Amino acid sequence: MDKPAIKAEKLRVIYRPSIFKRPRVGLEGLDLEVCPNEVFGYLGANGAGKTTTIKALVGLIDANGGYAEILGRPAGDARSREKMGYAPENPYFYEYLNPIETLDFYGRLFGMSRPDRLKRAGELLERVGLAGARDRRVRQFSKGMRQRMGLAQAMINDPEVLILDEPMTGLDPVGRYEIRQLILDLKEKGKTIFFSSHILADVEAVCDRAAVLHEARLVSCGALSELLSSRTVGVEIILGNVAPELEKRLSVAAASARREGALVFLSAVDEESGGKLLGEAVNGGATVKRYVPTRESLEEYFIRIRREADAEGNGDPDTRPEARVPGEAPVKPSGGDGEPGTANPEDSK
Amino acid sequence: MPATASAPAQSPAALSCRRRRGLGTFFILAAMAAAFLPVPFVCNMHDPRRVAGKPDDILYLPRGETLKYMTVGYNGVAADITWIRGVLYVGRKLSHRDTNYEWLEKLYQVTTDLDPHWTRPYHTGAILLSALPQDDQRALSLLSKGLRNNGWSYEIPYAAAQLHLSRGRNREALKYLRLVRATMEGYPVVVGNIIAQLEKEGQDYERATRTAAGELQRKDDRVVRAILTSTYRETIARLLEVELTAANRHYARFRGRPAGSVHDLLSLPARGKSRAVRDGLIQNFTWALNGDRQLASEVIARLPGDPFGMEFYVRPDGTVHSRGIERVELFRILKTVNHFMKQFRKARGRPARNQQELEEFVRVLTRAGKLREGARKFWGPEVRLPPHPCGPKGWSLMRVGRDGLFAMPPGPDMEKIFRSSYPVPPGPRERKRRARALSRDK
Amino acid sequence: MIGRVWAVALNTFREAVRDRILYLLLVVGIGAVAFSKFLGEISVGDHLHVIVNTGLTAVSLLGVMISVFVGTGLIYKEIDKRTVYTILSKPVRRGEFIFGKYLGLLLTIAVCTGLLSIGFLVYYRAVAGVADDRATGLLYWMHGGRITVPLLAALVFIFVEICVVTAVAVMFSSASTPILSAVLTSIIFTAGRMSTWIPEYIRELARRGESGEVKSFFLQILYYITPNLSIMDLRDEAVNIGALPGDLAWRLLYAVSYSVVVLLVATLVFRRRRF
Repeated sequence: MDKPAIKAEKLRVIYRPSIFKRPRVGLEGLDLEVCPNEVFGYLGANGAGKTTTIKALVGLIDANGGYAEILGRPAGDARSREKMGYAPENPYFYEYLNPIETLDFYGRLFGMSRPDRLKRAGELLERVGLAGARDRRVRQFSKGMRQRMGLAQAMINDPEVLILDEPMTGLDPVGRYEIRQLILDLKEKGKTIFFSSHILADVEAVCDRAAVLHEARLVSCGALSELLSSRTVGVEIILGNVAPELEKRLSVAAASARREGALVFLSAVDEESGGKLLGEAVNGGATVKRYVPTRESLEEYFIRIRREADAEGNGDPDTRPEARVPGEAPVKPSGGDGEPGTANPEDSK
Repeated sequence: MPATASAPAQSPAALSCRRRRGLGTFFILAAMAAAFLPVPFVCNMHDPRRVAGKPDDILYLPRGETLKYMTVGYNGVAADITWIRGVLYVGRKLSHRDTNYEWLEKLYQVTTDLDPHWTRPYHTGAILLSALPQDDQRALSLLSKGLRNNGWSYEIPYAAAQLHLSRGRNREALKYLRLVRATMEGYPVVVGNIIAQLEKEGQDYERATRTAAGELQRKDDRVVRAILTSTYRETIARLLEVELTAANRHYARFRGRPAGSVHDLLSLPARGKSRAVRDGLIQNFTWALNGDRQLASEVIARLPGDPFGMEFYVRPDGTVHSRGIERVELFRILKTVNHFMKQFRKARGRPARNQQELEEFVRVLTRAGKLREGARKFWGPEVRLPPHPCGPKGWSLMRVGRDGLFAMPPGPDMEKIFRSSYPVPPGPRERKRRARALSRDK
Repeated sequence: MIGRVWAVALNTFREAVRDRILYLLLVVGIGAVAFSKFLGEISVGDHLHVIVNTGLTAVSLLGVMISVFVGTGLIYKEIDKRTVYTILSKPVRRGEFIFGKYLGLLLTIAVCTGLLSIGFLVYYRAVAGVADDRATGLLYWMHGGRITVPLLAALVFIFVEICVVTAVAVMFSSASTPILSAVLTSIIFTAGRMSTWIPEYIRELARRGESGEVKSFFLQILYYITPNLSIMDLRDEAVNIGALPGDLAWRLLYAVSYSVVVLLVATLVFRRRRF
């Protein structure tokens, strides 16, 4: 690709809370590249180093080693932030100002002229859905409103690169939907969006590429389709009109089988055995209602990656990768934001 | 019981909740009242009005030097506060009729250490120190400190002069007044006059005349000039007396005997190196009148006329005197003497017959301690009538009127004397006018 | 750069002006000026002297207290409340942020002390001379104070002094908690107002023959480091002497230099700070 929008090379951040305590590694040897006009999702458990990465890119933290740049300018240099927008995880503003005044202030920091500032402020408030609260003091805002305000201020300068730290936290489903739309709109306009999130469904919905961070290290990175496509964890087959003997035969071959009324639900471990089952069913005269190779959801992928990394690190015997049983609700991701993963991967789109 | 649907019945639980709340508030208030009980009791125990007078707590006031560092640089207010402490201290002492002012000086020292350029504590403090505990030495040391720190403020040496004057130390007072006149601005206009008066009293008539003439040459204000003119008249009259008497001695050397009249005296011509009396006088008076030769000539031309519209005459002993001065002095002396004559008449029921009776009467008063300080100075330690201005035989020639008081000998009355015209040094405006007139005439 | 500094300053001003402690302090200041009338009345004659001294002290203390109470929390609050995140992630340099906060606070203090000064001057001119006749209870006007150039200069230089103290407060605020900053700033303020004791002490030591090279050297360094706030106190000139000193420009230059140095120290510290 031509010049990456965001680039990190062996980026390293070490925290030293006090001289007496041991230093803690916040980020170790991060190599990352975000292409222009791409939506990039940044995943990781709490404390993995997502916010650290973002802060290092945005200039709030000085890295201890390595190099990072935004739009060709070194991160930390004030000029690198001219075409960049950043929304922190829990944005805080001056309590006594109203949104218009707040955005006016941020606009000033970019040297925008007064009419520009006011126009843009009005537009942005509309865009993020805060137009109704334009005269209220920020003090009185709810969490969701603050989150939107954070997005609005990130876009005040019409940036080319947007770096968002957990943009969907605190929003209700409608809000999350709106933000997802916003991200997609921005992508249409040619912007680059880099955001971190716990809500895997959202990441799955909008991202082109994603990376996973685990305990200060990058464990995987790539296009979403690449990451997930190779992992077909099973096949789901729904059959109708199944004769009892066929059913018995199929249930032996299949990983799991159950009957609900007229329908029989089968699952296979992979495409090969799934194909065999299908063939048998068709030959046995059943009608195929559904044949779905279930890919691994991002969530499952995420959990698996974590477990593998943990096992690598700890040698923990408990981290056997578990096969997913179709039809069962997936295990809730631990340490998530409280947003439950969806029962069916199809529903998340 | 018919159910009244108008007011919704409150559940018993809510009622008791409110009642409980009210009860709780009541108990808290009761507890507050109970807890507060000892407070006014203890306060009254420590009421300062009940305690016998504390010893002066000025003892605990640190030195000014130390206090300067405790005030974090806000010396001005600290000085004000210690000054006010001083005011309150004096007030308290006065109201309790306590004469122990031992810490007054400390207060002023601290105040002036904190704000050395504030002049009021120096001069007012000195006045209070000299008046209340009568501590002149401390007052003067405070004033010297003030003068050291504030070389431009006239109030401090002026207060020192006042202090010295009030104690009769004219010489010291004169020193300070001269300092004020020579180096400062904004001082009261009468300072020049006071200096001239003091110099006259000290019999330094030359200096006095120079001072009076100098002041007249500098001032235009009518009231001030009026005051200065009367001083000027006296000083120049005295100076003329002295100069003419000296000239008469000179005359006597040449003619073998002193001149009998001023006219004769003035006619002595120049001889060899010595100038004529008239010229000599003009020369000396030019100097005395600060270089105004014209004025000096006028003054000498007036002779034998004196500054009071009367004249100079020669006494048998060769001394020259001004009748005007004599009259003025007699007038002043008679004021006091007649006061005692009145008292005599009131006490004895008849006027005093002669000098000795009056003196005896005053001696009685002195022994009874009824004389004030000024009167005591007037009568002197031996209680005698002061020498008569007109000469040793003067008192015997005085007549006592029917009112029992000495009468002024016949002559012009005092108004005329003090208003008589006489050449006086012109003020700046007058000089400018003359200069303009001169240039116009050219 | 100026635009950004000004933006931060203006915002700081807007935010600081809403801090309620300001109004409390202003009320206290007004109270002090009013109290001076009482002090003046019991001071036997020189009531104007007392009123001016108290007024100038009130303005000075007001400014310093705002500086300490508001200034020491200024940057700490931003960090604690995390409002810095959205600011430092804009193309604002850390130094611009510090200077902007400083200027904003100065603006606030200027408004407050300006108001109090004007109130004081009006009071001094008009009301100070009012007294009540004991016999009739009517008010009469004796004479108010004259507003002279040295008096105005004294007020201006009180503000200059506050500029220096505020710089120190901002510096501490960028490095530590409000309470510690307040204590340290107060200590420096006190030391600064009394800084002339150091050269006097050096002289005294020399006189007693106790001065070593090293001792004098360190004391001299201490003297240079401590802000010399006493030179910005023109009260004596305004009240007692009535004439301005000749080196006002130098004093101003000193204040500016010192403040700049302190703020640059703050910038250095702030730059290394991680958020």
